[in-house]
Amino acid sequence: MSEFEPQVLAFACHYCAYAAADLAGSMRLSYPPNVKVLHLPCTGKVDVLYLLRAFEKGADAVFVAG
Amino acid sequence: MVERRMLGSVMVVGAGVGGMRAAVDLADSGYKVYLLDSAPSIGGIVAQLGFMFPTHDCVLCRGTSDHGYGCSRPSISPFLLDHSRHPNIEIMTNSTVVGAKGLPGDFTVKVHHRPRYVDVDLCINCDECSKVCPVDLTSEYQAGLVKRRAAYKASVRSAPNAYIIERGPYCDPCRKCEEVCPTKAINLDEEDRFEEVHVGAIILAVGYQLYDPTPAQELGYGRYPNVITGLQFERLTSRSGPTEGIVERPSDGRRPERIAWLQCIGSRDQEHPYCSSICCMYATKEAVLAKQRFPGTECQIFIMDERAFSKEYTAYFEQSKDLWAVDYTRCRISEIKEDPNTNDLILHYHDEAGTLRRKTFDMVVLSVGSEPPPKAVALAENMQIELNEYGFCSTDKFEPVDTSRPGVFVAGAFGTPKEIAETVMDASGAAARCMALLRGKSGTETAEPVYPPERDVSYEEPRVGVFACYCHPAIDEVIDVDEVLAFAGRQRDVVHIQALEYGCLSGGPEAIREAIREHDLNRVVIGACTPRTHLALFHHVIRQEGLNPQLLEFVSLRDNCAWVHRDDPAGATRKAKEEMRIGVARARHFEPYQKESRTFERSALVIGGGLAGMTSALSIADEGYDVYLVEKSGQLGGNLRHLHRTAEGPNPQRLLAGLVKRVHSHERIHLYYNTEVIGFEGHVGNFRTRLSYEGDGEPARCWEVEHGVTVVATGGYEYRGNVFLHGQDPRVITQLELEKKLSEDVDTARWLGTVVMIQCVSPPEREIDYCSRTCCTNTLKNAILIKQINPDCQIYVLYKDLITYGFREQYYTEARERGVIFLRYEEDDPPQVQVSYGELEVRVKDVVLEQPLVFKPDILALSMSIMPAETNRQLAEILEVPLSSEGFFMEDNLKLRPMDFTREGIYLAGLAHYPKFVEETIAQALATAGRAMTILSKDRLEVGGTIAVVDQAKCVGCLTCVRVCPFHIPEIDPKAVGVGSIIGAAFIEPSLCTGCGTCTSECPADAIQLRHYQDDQLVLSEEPILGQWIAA
Repeated sequence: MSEFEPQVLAFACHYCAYAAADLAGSMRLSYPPNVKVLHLPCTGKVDVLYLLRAFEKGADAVFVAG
Repeated sequence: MVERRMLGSVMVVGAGVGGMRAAVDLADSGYKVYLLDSAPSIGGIVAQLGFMFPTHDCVLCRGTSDHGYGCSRPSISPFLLDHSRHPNIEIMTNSTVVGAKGLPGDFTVKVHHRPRYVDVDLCINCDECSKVCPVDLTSEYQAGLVKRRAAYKASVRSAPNAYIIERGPYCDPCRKCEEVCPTKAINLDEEDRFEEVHVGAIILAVGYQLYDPTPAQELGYGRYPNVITGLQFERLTSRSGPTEGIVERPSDGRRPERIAWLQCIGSRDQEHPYCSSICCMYATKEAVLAKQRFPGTECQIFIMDERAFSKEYTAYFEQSKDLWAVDYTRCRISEIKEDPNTNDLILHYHDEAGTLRRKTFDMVVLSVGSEPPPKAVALAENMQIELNEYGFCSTDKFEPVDTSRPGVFVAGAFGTPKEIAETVMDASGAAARCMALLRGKSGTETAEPVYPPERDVSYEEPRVGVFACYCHPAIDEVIDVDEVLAFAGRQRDVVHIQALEYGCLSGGPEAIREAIREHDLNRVVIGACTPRTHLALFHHVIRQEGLNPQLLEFVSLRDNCAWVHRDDPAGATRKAKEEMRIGVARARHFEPYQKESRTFERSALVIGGGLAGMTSALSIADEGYDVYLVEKSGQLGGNLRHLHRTAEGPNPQRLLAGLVKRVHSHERIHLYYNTEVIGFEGHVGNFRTRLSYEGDGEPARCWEVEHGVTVVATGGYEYRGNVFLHGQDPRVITQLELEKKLSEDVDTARWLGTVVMIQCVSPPEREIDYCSRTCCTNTLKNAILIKQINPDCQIYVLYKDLITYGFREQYYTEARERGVIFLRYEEDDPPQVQVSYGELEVRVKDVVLEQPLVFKPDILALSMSIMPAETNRQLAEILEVPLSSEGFFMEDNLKLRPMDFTREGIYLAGLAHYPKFVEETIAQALATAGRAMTILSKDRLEVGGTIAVVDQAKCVGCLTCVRVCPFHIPEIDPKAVGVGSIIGAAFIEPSLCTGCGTCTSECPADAIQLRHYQDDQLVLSEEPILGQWIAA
């Protein structure tokens, strides 16, 4: 049996977290590819329903960064 | 008389924070700007800073650093966040000015472009040239801490976003970079180019350079590896620094546990007889950062005076001492020794008790000061401007942003050492001076892009076209682009997929446009580098085919997939597919929208008729707009009326008389005496203010004015309360009263035997925890005058810290040379004043002598606190703007928006902001005019865009949005009708909404949607996309 790979959805604020994710690329840093980044104008836009819906549809973890 | 030509363009020399601010203000006001820098990228020294004091804002989201030049509220961001693509700004890097002919309004500037050897339009930042380059050089960006190649990128987020080849004797050239470049962007045979640029005005914002401590051999810099400069420490703490923010000793990579900062290295010495103004605060910031990052680090700062003279600085200093336990020792260190075995550093110093101590540190940071910028002399010759005795740009006290040559202005640290906020004020002020010179020429040299009419896609089924760049080798080396595209092609409503070599380069945009036409696409998804740099380009491309820019989705395949998962191509490809699937699903639901264009009132209200208010009003009125100038009292001038002399010489009363005369005679200024603001509503472009007149002679009345912008310039006052027998004994007077006495009859000084001056006198009933900034210099001014008239007079100045920042240091030096005696007292042991047998007696314990001293002065002059106007609280409530903890008005951002409120269209100047000198008040007042012009110069205001919109038919009027909005924008409109015909529904003013979306996620009725991020666009409806992943 293969090792469990959690599937992560990140909600990233445009001004800081998304800019940081982008900067990680520019600096050629690395992190595991099982994190999808969803770009939002601000983490204020994160509705609790989005988080629950992500879990409902299969995400193992949700990461709100802002 | 021959009519002179006036051009609608400005050249800004120097693209640091000041140059960028000036460029953005001018460009936003319709002037064409050439922004020039001698470095390969813009940003200046600020781009090397990771954090800004005192708020420790990570420059990542706030500032102008390498990370993205963003700010959550528009400051410099419209230009720099918007992908360095302001349509009115042309950037010229690697360029210097070599001459300027002509007259104000019509200059011909000769520019020397040094070759970059890389075409910035072709460079895709793949790093291949750097990988093959055999030459190692020192990295300027990392302050010499690491090496870089001769083929390099100035910083990871440089603008222009491209590499550069530095050619010197070390480059043969081997031409490997040319061969390897996948886009043929490199041409090593590129030659120097000279260009003549015609502009109406010039702003010099060339900044400063940090002192190089190598020649000061006693400090061991360059010999002892663990002696570094403040900027090097700054790089070590920065996330984009050589150690990714972990402070390590250069000698052994060990984390330093004991760090010392030495102040005034290259400041306040024989060679640099001035204070650099910034080092006390940056050393404090660095020490606090060290403490925050690595608890337990011992931080000791060796300091002469704690020069924490700006807004919120004192509080920051106190926090550094009390909360973070940073140790301050008053001692100037003359020598650093090294233990050669450990590379530890040994300092000898006297502690407060006078005992000689020896202490070992792991690292010593030199707080190096500011020097005139490199090549200042050549620049001055080329531009025909004068430098002052220190080698900085010469300015007049009352014209702080004017150089000696008309039409050439100066901003920032090139004029005098200064920090970010003051540089930003200067920059907007210099922009205002340019606009006043070139009035009426806005829009004459700029052109709006012309697009075909937009296609109405609202009744069409979605037809999505997906494009992806190979961007060889940046993307396709890691990601299987064809596989990603094939996957995207299987998504719903995708009718076309296409791979592009380079979507941004020649051929790419054309291919996208052709596909839109051929396949009748009405939604576009592009998988490419990063929206940060290229979103604006692709918006432009689809707009050319009549598609609304909001119908485009950008998926970051390079920065967010290929570059961060280089070791896992399969994982990266899978993630790229996932991101594409989200992109397509979002795009299917996209709807077009535009900004709304509105008419507005092209006039200003200025509250306060002092120096700041008059300067602001005149500057705005000179540019041709009506100004309502409201003064509470029956007289113009404010505190300027009480100033009779300046330390520098020029007469403030002449300035006052000139301003009053011009205000009275200006046809555009409507002046109201004895008038106060009693009501205020509306928003930028359309404010309505209720004014109330209550004066002698005429009956009281109330009326309303409508205006587009507002300037708050309500001033402050010198405290005159009952402290140290002031008001009880006629010999006890304030420094302003002494100034008045001396100005009325200078011979008063002749009969004075002893004068005592006490600094930092604050009201007993209220603790003042800020520095009033101007008092030390005023004290020195009066002391020097008395000594000039009567050299035998004994003058004692009792002080806590002597704040003579910048070139004001000369008055401190002069006063000491003239025999004024300075005695420091401790905060918790202040001087005592009493009358004994008719004689005035001042007792103080001198901290050096540790002895009580008694003086019997003829005059005791007190430096009283400058207090915020008492009406501030009331006015702040009316204007709905905040006050700082000190009681002054609170700007939006201490550093980057020092004259803007969070509420757009309201600006701040003078003592209402913080105590300041005449020249600083003038600069800030001009800056308000510069900011106001970015609004008033427009024909119509564009509002809205990506904002929250209420569907009032769903609104129950529950006030949730009103409560949760961090900017207090939503309100219940009583005229609107909500769900079930109830009266009153939420309304969000489009010109104010910042588009954060907080209200939309809280609204219980789902009545509010954020455009471009609607619930259905975040794919919550049919597709199970948010959480689902493709099987690995």
